[in-house]
Amino acid sequence: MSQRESETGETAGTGKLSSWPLFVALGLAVGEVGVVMAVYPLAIGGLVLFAGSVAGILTESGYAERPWRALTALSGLFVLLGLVVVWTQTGTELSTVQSALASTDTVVLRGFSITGAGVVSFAAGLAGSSITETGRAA
Amino acid sequence: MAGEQLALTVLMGVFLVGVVSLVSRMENLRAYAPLTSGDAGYGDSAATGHKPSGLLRWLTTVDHKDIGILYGVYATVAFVWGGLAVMLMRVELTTPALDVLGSTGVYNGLLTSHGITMLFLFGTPIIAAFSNYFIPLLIGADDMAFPRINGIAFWLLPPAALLIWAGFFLDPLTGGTVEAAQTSWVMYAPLSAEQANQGVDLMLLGLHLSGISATLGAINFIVTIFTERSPDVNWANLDIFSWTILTQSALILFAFPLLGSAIIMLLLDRNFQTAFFAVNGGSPILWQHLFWFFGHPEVYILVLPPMGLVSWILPKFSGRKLFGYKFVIYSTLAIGVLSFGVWAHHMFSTGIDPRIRASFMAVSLAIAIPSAVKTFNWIATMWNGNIRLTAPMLFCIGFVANFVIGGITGVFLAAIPIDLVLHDTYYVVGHFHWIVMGMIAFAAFGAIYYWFPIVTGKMYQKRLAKMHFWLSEIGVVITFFAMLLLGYLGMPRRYATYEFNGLIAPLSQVTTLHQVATLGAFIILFAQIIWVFNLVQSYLEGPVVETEDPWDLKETGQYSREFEWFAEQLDSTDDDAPALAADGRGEPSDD
Amino acid sequence: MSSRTFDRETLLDLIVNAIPLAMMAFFVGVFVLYNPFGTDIANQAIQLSIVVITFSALVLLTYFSARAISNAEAELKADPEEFAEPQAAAADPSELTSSDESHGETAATGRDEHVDDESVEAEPTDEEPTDAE
Repeated sequence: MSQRESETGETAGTGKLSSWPLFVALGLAVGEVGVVMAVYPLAIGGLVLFAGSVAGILTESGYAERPWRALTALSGLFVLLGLVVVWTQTGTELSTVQSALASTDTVVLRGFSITGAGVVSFAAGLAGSSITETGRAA
Repeated sequence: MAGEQLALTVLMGVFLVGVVSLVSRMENLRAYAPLTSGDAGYGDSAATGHKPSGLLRWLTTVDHKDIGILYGVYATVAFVWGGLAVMLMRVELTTPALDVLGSTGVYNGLLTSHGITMLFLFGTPIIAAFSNYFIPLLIGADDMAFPRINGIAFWLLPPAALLIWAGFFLDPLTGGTVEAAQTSWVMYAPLSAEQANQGVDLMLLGLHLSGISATLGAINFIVTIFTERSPDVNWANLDIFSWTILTQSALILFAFPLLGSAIIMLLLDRNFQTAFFAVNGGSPILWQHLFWFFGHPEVYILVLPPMGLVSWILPKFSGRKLFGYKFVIYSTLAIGVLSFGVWAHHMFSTGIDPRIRASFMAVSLAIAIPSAVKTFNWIATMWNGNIRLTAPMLFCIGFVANFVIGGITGVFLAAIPIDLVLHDTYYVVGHFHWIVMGMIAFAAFGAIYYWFPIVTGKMYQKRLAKMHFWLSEIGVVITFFAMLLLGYLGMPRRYATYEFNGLIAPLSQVTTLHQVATLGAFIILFAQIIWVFNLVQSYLEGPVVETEDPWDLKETGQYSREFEWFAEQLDSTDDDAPALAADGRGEPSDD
Repeated sequence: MSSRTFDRETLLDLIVNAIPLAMMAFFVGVFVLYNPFGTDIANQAIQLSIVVITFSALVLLTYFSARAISNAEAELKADPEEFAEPQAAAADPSELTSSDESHGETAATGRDEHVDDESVEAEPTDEEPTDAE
């Protein structure tokens, strides 16, 4: 990414296109449908896409230098939100949360899908930052 | 079930990988100029040559003009959908029995879809099309304050439309287990809370997304108009369209989040056993209060910008300035404030306390004044003017004429005793269609014709445009006047079939009036076919506009900023042969 | 809204909002003095607050917008050059005369401006400005 940045930097001042808005919108839409309609793959995929695109758009517009910290922060938010949803059904005791993993209660499953999206985004953030850290030297 | 989930997971994974690869490809095309608040200064025409071509350009653009065009195309598609839905309904109503659609459920689904599509997917976006394209040009800004948020606001709309219409698509696919929502656009509880159909959930999610989109757009316009004005534009010479968009955006900011919250409460009621709108819980009337606290400002959200468009365009063809510029501004602001104090006039017949009802009547009658003031301003502007009956002007005059009827029928409805008689009849339907079709759509048509040369660089076919106007106006009068009469006869809204006790009204009379309304609807349909044909044909083959002043505005000293910008575009493309192609205008906009 | 804050011209413009305000004030008077529906403290409180809150909000918004607009007008009058349309410089010199008041609304004096238009021919024409076909 950083190499391309310098390549296209010469035409600076255009800035009239961005690939992120489409995916922010799509991620939000798919994630929302997934969570509410209890379609877990859509929930996780949509929320991951949303988190990634938000991190991307923040970086692109200069609010963040690199996307990974924003991604990690959002993933933390999702994990927390998901756990809150689960806790509404189980209480905060660890043992009940563990036993809820086997639950078929749709609210619990929705909570876990949000948490799952957080975990995936967190992993993506870690992977991304480590890969580009090495790539940056070049 | 597990297999389906697995397949979906794999599909989702493939999709995400696709997104990642596409995005990394895009990095090649994109300059990394960080721009917050549009201060990167890319408004100069020299920079416009760097857009990617074809579909990719339209998917990735954050240019306010491109987004404006996208909004316009989107709104047109929605207009076609909503229009075809209502044609089916009108055909069904030509006979008292259920002869055409096969089931009342289909009629109810079409009714819901027509209302929501026209208000949320046509009305709001067509206004956003003009405001996105022209507000930055009119106030001398480079672009919107937040170009990327502008992009997000638009791209939330296509998924919103798909979700709102999802019931129609999923009905055949799921063998009828998911149907089109049959809640009507007001989604009154307990009906909306108790329909098990998942199409309702999908529709609510789509509406929620369109609400987010409108809110993002509103924030963007408020910030743009406050902070991005060129130094020589201040509150005393800000154009009237920007004033109305500013007021509209403020209304959106207060109204739409409330709709979003109410929709979430309804979704919770439907899926998570809460009791916000249950009879033994928060009460169904709570929904009506929440909905109309959004819903009435929504009426003005839809109608203020068209009033601004007419206030902007009508003087251009009257050869004189808008009469009472500041009257129009103050009355616009007054409408904005008062619109939040009138919501329960939609609920006069729900049995709320008569004292409270009287208060809402008082404010509803008061709001008629600023609306009427504008009418007199427009008429006074035309008075003794040098009127040129171009297609945009015809639509503006039609707008004023339709507003007189649509507006005054509304004043009657604001009075409690009259409302109790006419509530839930076709009189109400006739009243708001005079406004929505006769004003909002007419102003949109007028503005499309007025700015067609700027947006496309071509001129439309004038004879077809005038045919479009006359057929539309005649169709509007026939259809909606018949509806007012049907209302007097007591024909209730929202029914696919009708049966009358002869003591109330002779059935044959009601049937005849329904047939007249259907005839008018077909005239309107025919007019819109001409309109779409004219736009597409003129876009592709129309004569290229060479002059920077296609409307001869300089003669009357009304040449304005957007045409200055157009002149700059013409100048900058004089060197390269294809006119305006540098801005990607040669690309077809159908994506 | 003392006349020191706003000049006569602005006060005249504000009449447009004074009318709905007067209507609401009238209804408040009717509700309090005539009280047609009997006494019920809770409902009367809601009844009056709907009108009174709307009334106050309209007064506030009218006041602040009028102040913003009249200040902006003072700026326009003080320095008309700065607020001239940029096109005057960009356009051909020959067009300067016709385009100097291009923004219909730049006129600071408001309605008086319309008088000059009466010299314009009142006869409506059917002609379109450019040739389409």
